[in-house]
Amino acid sequence: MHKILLIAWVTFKDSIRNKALYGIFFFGLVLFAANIIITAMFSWELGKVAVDVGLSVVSFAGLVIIFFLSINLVSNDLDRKTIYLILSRPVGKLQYILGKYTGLGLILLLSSSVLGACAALSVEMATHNVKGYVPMHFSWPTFFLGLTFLTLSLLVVLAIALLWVTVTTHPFTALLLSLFSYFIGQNVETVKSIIITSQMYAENPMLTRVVEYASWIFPNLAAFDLKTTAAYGLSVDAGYLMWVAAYGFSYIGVCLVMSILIFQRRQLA
Amino acid sequence: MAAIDFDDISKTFRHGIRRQRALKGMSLAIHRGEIFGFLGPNGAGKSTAIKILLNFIRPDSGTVRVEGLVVGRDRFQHRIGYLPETPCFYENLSGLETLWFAGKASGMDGQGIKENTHQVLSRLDLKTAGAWPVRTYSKGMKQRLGLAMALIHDPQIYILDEPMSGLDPLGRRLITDVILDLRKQGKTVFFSSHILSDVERLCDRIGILDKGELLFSGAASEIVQDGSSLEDAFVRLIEEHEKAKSA
Amino acid sequence: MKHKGTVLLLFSLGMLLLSFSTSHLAVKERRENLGISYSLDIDSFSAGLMKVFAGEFKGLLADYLVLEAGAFIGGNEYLSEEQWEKVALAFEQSLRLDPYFQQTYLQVQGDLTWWGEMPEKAISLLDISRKHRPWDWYPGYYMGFDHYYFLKDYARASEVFLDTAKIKGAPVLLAVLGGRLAVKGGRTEAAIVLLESMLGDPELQEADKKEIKERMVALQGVLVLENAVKKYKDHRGAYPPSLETLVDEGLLHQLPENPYADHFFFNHEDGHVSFDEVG
Repeated sequence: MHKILLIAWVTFKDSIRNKALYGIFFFGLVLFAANIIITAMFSWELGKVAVDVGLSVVSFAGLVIIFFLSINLVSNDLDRKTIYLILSRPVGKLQYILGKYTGLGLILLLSSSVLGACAALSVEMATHNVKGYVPMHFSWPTFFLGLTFLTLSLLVVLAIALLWVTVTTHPFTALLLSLFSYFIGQNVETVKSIIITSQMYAENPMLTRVVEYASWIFPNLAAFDLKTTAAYGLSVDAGYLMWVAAYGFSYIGVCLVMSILIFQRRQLA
Repeated sequence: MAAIDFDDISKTFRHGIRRQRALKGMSLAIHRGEIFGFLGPNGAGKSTAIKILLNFIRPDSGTVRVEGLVVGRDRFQHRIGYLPETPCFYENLSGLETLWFAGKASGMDGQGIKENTHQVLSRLDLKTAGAWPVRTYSKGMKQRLGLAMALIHDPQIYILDEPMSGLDPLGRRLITDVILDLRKQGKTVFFSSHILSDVERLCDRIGILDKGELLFSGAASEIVQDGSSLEDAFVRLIEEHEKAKSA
Repeated sequence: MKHKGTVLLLFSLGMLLLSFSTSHLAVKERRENLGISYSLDIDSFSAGLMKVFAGEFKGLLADYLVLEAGAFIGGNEYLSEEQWEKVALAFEQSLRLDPYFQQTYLQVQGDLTWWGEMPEKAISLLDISRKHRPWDWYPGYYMGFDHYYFLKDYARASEVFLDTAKIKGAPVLLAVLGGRLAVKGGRTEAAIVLLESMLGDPELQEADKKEIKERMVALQGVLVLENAVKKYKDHRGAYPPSLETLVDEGLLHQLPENPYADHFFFNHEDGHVSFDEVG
């Protein structure tokens, strides 16, 4: 167990000093400043717009970290053989994968908390002078719940990305496959509902089946998206959230175990 | 019991439909306390053998044992120190952090790491650079830091892949001295190299590999004929082998 | 030792898959039950601002919005007025991003008018498509229909129909329909002029030509009668009890012939003349 934490520590420390990460944080801060300006362009439901923009920026920054930082870090390990220095020591591939995931996950948690705090601040500032326009039910607990589930969905995407890195031999392929999975994950539910409700596809059981399979393979990322709920301060069903959390964690678990199984069989030539 | 024992190792790589036989039933034993030079032209299969020894890749057939522990089945990594051909580190960590990580990964406690780090860094002339991030290191410094990582946990067996490549004379001298120190301490060193003069000077025994076959293993003096150098002997041996293959 | 590790991993994979399937089904069921599943997340961005953010992907975004709106309508049995507003907003944003897309106006017509009960909104959206697709007579046809059927605005309906009839390839029916509504909307003269110009089209088929001519005769008859009725009312201060009165009073030599019936129809209460009984 402490070997996993050790790898996590090294990964975290290495990426936290990565210049690209500063770039992402800086970009996030600029967007929050923009949030205040954008929000000023609307004359109604300011709070909703501010929450929308704020949480979207957190989400976007997390995705950029996954796609352009995390995938690169892990594939560099494999490409430049940094991994030799780790695996030539009494550290197993299981510990390596879990450690990497933990380290990169910590980076995401950090980004979500720093940028999330900034988002909260920008929401507060954007709506400060116009209290009357904040949606009636807007509540900070829902806002932070939205932030939490957003982070969970980022962790799910990270787990898939890690799986793709262990399967493929080229970082670019891994990036493409991860983007592809993310995109499908976001839309699989909508596409499914269109196909099921539209008569156009009723006579095409093949297509229906493909979409059904896809909804089992790719994560339903829309389920984690509470941005609208947070923006309107709508009440959320606790049972539903528990299931979504269970869903997210077991998806992550499946991805990780599969990564480990594949990675243990992979030759590191 | 041999320190390292390659027993009839074969390995074929597949690149699409093309097959490349990297090792053909290689057997080789490295005794405890000796310095063994592993020689061969480029593409002879040296790297493949080392990667199999470290369990990075699996042989198609045959077994490797490290002090009797079967590679791929038993844990043997705590017995060895390894220096890759071109070591790559986490560039944003400092030299000290890298060594701390290496020590921890090898199961050392904080106090032990502290003592050994101090000793190893002064031995390898990295004292001042220890606190700098690795991305500021020169090629030679990285090579030395790689060696420091192999030394930090004071293992019995050292596997060094081209430790001298790309170094200036000073750097080579430093590494040669470290290897000689290790012999004094009774450690086993298995290293591959192109630089035959170093090998001749350092090694108790050598092995010569070509096209995946071990052509010779034994004391260098056994193949060096009077008046000629190890280089002449090496070239002659490889040429004879190539001729025999094409015939 | 190695095998034990793998077995353990496979076992945990199995457990995780079990937990995954359970939660997957639970989430799926709940999203269907709670109606969260098809919530339409259309932001209240103005369409113009959206275009700025979408950049070169505005076409893609437009397609996405239409799909989202479609799925939202399809996925819910009942939509509140507020929800329909959102759907309309999605259509509007989509049209602003890509005003050429056919699917958008087809869905606008299919969904917003019949189910959303927002014909005015639909008309204003169809108008965007009509302006950007000058070769396409469908948006105009739908617009005219909405004016006529939902809003009972015959004047606007006939205007749009007649305008649309000018588009190459538009069915002659549009002109004929426009002509008929013109009578209801008091635009008989404009309709006659348009039909006349259409007759000049050398590509017009014989059957269509005959239909247009008949409609013109009917409209001209209506026009003559309308004028006479107007004159009668100016003199007498009331509508004539029947069309025959106009001849009796010397305002007309004889009644014009109606190509569709024995005679023209007249409502002596509101003075309305028409060539058919309906409406």
